[in-house]
Amino acid sequence: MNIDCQTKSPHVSDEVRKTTCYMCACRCGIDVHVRDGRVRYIQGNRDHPVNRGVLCAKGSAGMLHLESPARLQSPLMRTGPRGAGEFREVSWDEALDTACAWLGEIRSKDPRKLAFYTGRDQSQSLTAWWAQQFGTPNYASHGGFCSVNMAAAGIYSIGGSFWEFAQPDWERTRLLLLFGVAEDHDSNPIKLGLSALRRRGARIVSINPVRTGYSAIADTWLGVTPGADGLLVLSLVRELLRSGRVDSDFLRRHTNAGWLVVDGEGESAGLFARDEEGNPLVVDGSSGKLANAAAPGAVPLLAASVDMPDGSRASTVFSRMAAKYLDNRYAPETVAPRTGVSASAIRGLAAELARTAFDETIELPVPWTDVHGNTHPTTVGRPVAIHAMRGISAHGNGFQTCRSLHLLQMLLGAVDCPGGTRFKAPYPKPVELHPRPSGFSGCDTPLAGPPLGYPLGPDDLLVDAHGNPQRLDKAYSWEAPMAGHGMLHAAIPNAAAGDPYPVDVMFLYMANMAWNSSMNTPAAIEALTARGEDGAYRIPKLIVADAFNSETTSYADLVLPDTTYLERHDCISLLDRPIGEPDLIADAVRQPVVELTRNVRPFQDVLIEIGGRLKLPGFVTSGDKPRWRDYAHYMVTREVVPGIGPLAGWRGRNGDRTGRGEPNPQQLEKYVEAGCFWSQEIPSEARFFKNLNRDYQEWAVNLGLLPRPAPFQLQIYSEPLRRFQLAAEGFGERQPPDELRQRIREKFDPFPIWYDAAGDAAGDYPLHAITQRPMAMYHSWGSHNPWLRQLHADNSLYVPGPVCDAAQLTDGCWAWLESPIARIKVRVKRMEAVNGQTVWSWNAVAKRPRAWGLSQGAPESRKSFLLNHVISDLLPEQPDGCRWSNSDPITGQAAWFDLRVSIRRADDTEECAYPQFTLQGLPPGLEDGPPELRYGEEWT
Amino acid sequence: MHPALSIILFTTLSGAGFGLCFWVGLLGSGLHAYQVALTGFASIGLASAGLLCSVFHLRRPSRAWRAFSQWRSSWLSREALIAPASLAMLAAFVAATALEHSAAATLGWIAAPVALLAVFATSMIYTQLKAVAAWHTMRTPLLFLAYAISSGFYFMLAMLGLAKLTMPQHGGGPVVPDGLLVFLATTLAPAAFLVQYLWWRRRDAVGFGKSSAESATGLGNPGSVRMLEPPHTGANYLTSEMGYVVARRHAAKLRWISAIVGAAVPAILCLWAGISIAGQPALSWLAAIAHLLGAGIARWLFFAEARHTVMLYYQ
Amino acid sequence: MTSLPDKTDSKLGLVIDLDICVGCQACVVNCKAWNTGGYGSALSDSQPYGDNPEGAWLNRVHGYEVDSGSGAATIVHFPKSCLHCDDAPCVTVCPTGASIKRSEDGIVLVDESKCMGCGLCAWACPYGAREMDPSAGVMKKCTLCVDRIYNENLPAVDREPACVRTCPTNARHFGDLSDPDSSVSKLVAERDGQDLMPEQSTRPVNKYLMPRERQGIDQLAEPDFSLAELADPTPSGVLAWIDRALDRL
Repeated sequence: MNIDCQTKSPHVSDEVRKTTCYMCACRCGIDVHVRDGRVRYIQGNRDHPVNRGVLCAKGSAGMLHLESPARLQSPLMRTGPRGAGEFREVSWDEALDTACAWLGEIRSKDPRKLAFYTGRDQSQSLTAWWAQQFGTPNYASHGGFCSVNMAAAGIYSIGGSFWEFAQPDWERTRLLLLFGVAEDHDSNPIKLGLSALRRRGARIVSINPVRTGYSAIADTWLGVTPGADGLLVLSLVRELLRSGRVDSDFLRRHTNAGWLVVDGEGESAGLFARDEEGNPLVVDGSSGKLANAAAPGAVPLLAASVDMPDGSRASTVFSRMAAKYLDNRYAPETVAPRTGVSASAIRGLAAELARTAFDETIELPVPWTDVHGNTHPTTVGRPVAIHAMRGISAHGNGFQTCRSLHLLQMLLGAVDCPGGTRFKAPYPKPVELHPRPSGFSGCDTPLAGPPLGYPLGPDDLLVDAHGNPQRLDKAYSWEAPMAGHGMLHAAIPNAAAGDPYPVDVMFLYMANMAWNSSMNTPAAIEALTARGEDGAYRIPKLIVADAFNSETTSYADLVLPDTTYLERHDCISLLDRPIGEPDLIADAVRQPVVELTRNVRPFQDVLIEIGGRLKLPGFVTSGDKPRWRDYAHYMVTREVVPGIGPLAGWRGRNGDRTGRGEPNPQQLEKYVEAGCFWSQEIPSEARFFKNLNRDYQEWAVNLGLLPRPAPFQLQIYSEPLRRFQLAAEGFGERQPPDELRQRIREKFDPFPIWYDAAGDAAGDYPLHAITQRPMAMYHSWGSHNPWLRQLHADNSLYVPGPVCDAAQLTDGCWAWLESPIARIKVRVKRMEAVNGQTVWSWNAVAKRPRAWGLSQGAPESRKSFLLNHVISDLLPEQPDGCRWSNSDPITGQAAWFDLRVSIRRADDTEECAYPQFTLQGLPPGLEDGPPELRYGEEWT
Repeated sequence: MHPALSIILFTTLSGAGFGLCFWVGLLGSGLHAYQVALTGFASIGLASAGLLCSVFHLRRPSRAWRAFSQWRSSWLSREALIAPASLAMLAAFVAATALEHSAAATLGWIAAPVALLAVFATSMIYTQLKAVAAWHTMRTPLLFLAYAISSGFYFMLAMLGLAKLTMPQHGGGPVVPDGLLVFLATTLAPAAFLVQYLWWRRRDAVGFGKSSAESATGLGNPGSVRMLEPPHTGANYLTSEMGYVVARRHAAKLRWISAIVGAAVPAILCLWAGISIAGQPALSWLAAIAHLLGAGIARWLFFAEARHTVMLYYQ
Repeated sequence: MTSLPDKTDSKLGLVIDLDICVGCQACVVNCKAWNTGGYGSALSDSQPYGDNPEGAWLNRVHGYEVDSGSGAATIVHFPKSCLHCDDAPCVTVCPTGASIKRSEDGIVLVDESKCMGCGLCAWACPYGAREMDPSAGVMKKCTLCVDRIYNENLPAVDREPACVRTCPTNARHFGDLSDPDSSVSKLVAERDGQDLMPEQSTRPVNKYLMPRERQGIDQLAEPDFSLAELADPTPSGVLAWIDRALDRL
C-alpha cells in the first residue's frame, strides 16, 4: 500500500523571520515561521552561537504569547482600590502626561523619591542610564533577588562569575561539577554541553539536594543539604591542600597566593604589603628579595613569612590559607553530618578532582603570550570545570560559598584554561575596572555615574555622614556593602515603612514584585496597599510596565502596557550580559516579527520618550528635542563613549568596523540580514588565561571591551573584604554602626569561609525547603501559556520517603508546611532521590485567582502554592533586638533558600491549597480566555 | 477502562437482541407467525437499539458507514457487517414465517448461529486487545455469548408472555418440553453468572498480564519503577479513557449486586412460576429485566475493572 | 486497508536516549507547535485558560524514580510517542481504514478524513501513543513529522521530526532502522537498544537506549591517592609542611 494522506511537501510558511527568543533569560536565536501574518511555528536558529538550532519548551511555545487573554490592551489608570484590578483605559498621551507630571515634580524636588526597579530586564544599560540621568540612586534590577552572590563573588575573586559570564569548556572538560544549577539560565547551552560531555564520556558530578533535571543524568549525585555547599567545598580544599595536590605554578603566576599580607594588628593589618607605588609585594623565589608582584619575571614564593622594611611582618596568602583550611573543622568527618555527604564521598571527590586535574592534564599546541611578554609554547589545561547557579546563590552564605568555589578552581589551576571553566568576553575583568556605585548628586542633576557598581572598601559605600543608607533598598550601606545589583526585594517593604525614607513614585518594569518576586508575598501585598494616617497609600504613586495582567499590575496606579518579545526591537548588548562563547564574542537584536494590534508600546520606547519629555540630560539634543525616536534608533545611535554603543557589529559609517566605530545608520538592517546577531571568533592565541593573556588584552582593547589593558591576578585573598573588616575592627573614618560590627568582622573574611545561614537543624523546624524552576517554565509570564501550563498547572511538595513515613504522609495527601512566620497547605508527593532533610517544589506555578488570564478556579490558584508565603523578609531578632534583612550580609542577596520548615498532615479534607487570595478584577479590554484553542487550524 | 454508557448499552442490549434472535431462529419454526413476528421484531429492536447506542460513542458518527470496509482485519468492522446481516436474516425468517414460505425453518436455523456470530464479533472487539489483559482471553467471547443466550431466552419468555396477553388465541409455548423450559429458565441466568464468575476469577489474577512498569519502561533491570512526575499535571485523554479506577471494595459489592439481580432474581422468579412461566407475562418480564440489569452492572464492571497497559506508565 | 504490510521498504523511527534526557519537555512542546498547524486538524486544547486545561499531544515525557535496591534512587526522564510498530495493533483494529502503516517507510498514520472517532485504536495501543483530539474528534498520533521529512519547502537539513531537531541534549535520533548501516541502527547495536513491552509482540520500530549506570564518587577513589602519606600538619609547622608539600608537585 502506498497511501499519502496529503502532499509530500506542504507549504510551511510565507516567510521565516529571525529574531531572539525571550521566553527566558537564555537569549537563543529563533527562526519564526510567519504565515498569513501569524506565527506558524518557531524553531531554533541553527547558526546562532547560543542554541545552535535547538530550542526548549518555552521557546517553542512562544507563539501562544500572541494569543494570551492576559495581554494588556491599552494604558490604564486605576479607578478602584489597589489590587482590585479596576481601571479605566486612557490614551498614551494621558498616560505619559501623568507619568511625566509625577516624575518631573520629584526630579526637581528630590529625585530620590523615585524608586525604579526592573525585573528580568535585558536592557539594563538603558534603564540604569535612565535612572542615572534622572538622578535617583534607587534603581536596581532582578539580580539582588536572583544571583548577585554569584556575580559579585566571581567578580571580586576571578574577574567574572559562572552564570552567563563563563561556561565549562564543553569540548575538553573531563570532570564537571554542577552546584545548585537551576535550569533557566543558559538553559540550552548547558543542555547542549551536558550532552557533549556524555558523548565524550566525561564525568558529571551534581551537587544538589534534589536529583531531578541535570542531576538525573549526572554520573554521580551528591545530595547535599541546602546551605552546606560551601562547607563541602572547603573540605575539598582542605583535602587538596593536605595532599599537596594543588597547581603551584598557576597559583604563583595567576593568583595572589604569593602576595604578602601584613601580619599583626593595626590599620594595615591584613592588607597587602605594598611598595611605595602601591604595588603588592611578593618574595621573589630566585632572589629571595621583595619584589613587585606584577613585575615581569617575579616568581613569588608561595610559603613565606618575612620581616618588612618598616618593621612589620608579612606572610603570604598561601601560608595563611594553608593554616586556615588545614584546620580539622574542615575535615571530611567533621563536615559530613552538616553537608549530608559522607566523608568517603568527599575524599573520593577530592581524589577525583586531583586525578583529573593533574593526571589528565591537557596540553593544547596553542602558543600564548603573557602580559610580561613570555611566550608559552603550549596551553596547559586542567580539565575540571565547575558550574554553579542559584542553589548556591540564594543563601545567606552564598557570597562566601561562591568564593569557596572559585578558590577550589584556583587551587586546581582550572580557571579560563583548556578544559576548565572559561570566560566569555568581555569577561574576565578586574573588579577595579567596574564602576563604583553612584549616589545622589542633587535635584535636576544626574548621578555622577551608574547607580550600581562594585565597592572596593568603606569609602565607596552609599551612606550619609551618620552611616545611614542613602538608597531605599539599603544596598551599599553597612547592611549590604557589596550589593552589586541592588536589593529588589527590599524596595517595597522599605518604601512602605518609610525606612530609610519614603518615596513618592515607585516605577516597576517586568517584575512581579507583588507576587513571587518578593520575599514574602502577603507582606508585599500589604505594603503596596498600606495607607498612612491621612488615608493615602504609603507608597503614593505606583507605575507598572508589563505586557500582561500580572498580579503586580493590579496594584498599579498607572499601567504602561508593554509588547511581547515578538513585537518589538530589542538589543542583547555586550553592555549587559554576554551571549557569546569562550571562543567567540556575540551580541544580538530582536525585531518585530508580527504586526502589533493593540494600543501598547515597547517599554524601552516609552522610557526613551519619558526621558525626552523630562528633558533628561542625554535624552535630548542640544536643542532640547528628543534625541531618539524609539529604542531601535537608540540601539543604533547611542554612544556610551565615543565609538562604543549598544551593538558591536557593523559599526562605522560603512559598517566595516567592529566594536569601536561611529554609529552606522544601517546597523540594524545588517543585524537583521545576518539573522539578528553578530559574532566574531576570538583569535586562537587569545582564548585562554585572558587575565594575563597579552593578545586577549590587546584584542579586547581594540574591540572596545576594555578601556585599556587590564591584566590582573585572581584574588584568593580579597582585600576589599578585609577593608570592611578593618572598619568593623575600628580602623578608618567610615565606621559601621556598632550593632553590625561583629557581623562584619565575622562574615567579611578575606578568605572564603562557611557559616550556617540556615540556622540550626535542631528545633521546631527540622527541614529545609527550597524551590526549583521547572525546565519548561520561566517566571509567571511563561507559566500562563496554555501549552506550558498543561505541563505544570499545579505543584506538589516533594517530601523525602523517610519524612513521609515518620509524619504519615502519603502521595496526594495535604499537609501543613510551617515556618517560624506562617504556614501553608500543600499537596504531598513522596520522593526518594532527594536529600533527607529537604522538601522542595516547583516555583512560579501558583497564581492569584483570575490573574494572567486564567479562570477563577484554575489549579494554579486552587491547588498551587508559593513558598514565598512562609519566607520572611527579616531574620529572627538578634540579642540586641535588631532584625536584619533575610539577605546575605555581604551582598544583600535575598536568602530565600535558607527557609526552615516543619510538616504535618492536614486534618481537613478540603482539596485546596492555603492561603487563597481574592479574585483579581479584569481590566477593561481584557476578557476571559476562550473555551478551546485550535491553534493553526486554518493551515491544516 | 472508562465505562462509557454508550458502550455498556451497546454490548448488553445488542447482546440480548442477538440472543433473542438466536432463540427465535432456533425455535421459531414451531411458533405461531404472530409469536415469531413479535419476538422477531423485539430482537431486531433490541439489537438495533444497542447498535444505535454504539453510534453515540463515535466522535464523528457521520463516518460510521466506513466501518463496513475493513472486515479483513478489524473485528469492529466484522461486527458492523455481521450484525445487520444477522438482523436481515431474522427479518427474512419473520417474513417467510408470516408468508408461510417453505424456506422459513431453514432461514431460522441459519439466522440463529449468525446471531451468535454477531455476538462473537462484538466480543472479539475486546478480546483482541492484548493491552487489556483482563479482556484478552477466550473467556470473553464465552461470557458475551452466555449473556446473549441467557438474556435472549428471558426476553423470549417475556415476549411470548406478551403475545399470549395480546392474542390469547395464538397462545401456547415454544416447542420445548415444559421441563426443559423450566430447567432453562431457572439455570440460564445462574449459568451466565457462573461464566462471569470464572471470568472474574481470571481477571483478578491477570493484572496487566505479562507487562509491568518495568517492562513498559525497560528500566527495571534491576529495580522498581515508580512515576514521580506525570507528563502533565492534569488529566489527559489516556488517563480519562484508560485510567478509570473502581475501588476494590466497591467492585466486590457491585459484583454481588449484579449476581443477585441478574442470576438469583430471575432464577427464583422462574422457579416460583414453574411451568407456567411462559404464561406469566409480568413475572417473565421481571425476570428478563432483572437479568438484563444484572448483566448491565456486570458489563459496567467489565469495563471499569479492566486495566490497560498504558496505565503502567502512570503508576 | 488496515491490514499490515508484509514488509516495509524502510523502517523510519526514533531512537531515544534515556541516558541523556533531562526531561526539559522541549520535544513535547515543539512537537505540538509544529503539528498543530501541520498534518491533519489542529492539536486542540480544551479549557486552555480554564480550570481543567487538557489537550491532544503526540509526545509526552514522564518522570520516573527508579530504585535499584542499592545506592540512592535515580530519576529517569522518559519521552514517549508512537513507536511505529511493525505489528501495530492500532492499525488492524481500525474499522474504517483510517489507520494505516505505510509500506514505503513504515510510518503509522491516521487518515483523519476517514476516522470516525471510535477510539478503538487508542485502546489497542499498549503504549498510549494515540490521543483523541478534543475538538476535532479524530485520533491524533505522531506522524514522525511526515510533513517535514520529505518536505522540499524545508532545507534538507531540517527534514527530520521537529522533536529531533529541537532536542537540546541530542537525546532523540531519527533514521532508518531497517538499514544496519544507518546511524540509528549503529546506536541501537552499540547501546543495546530496547523494545518497550516486548511481551506485547508489537515489534516497535522505535528503540530506547537505557541510562548508563550511575556511580557513587567514593567508589572511584583512586588507590594511589593516599592522604595518610602526609603527616597531619600542626599550625606551628605549617610552613615547613607547605614546602614539603610543594616539593612533591
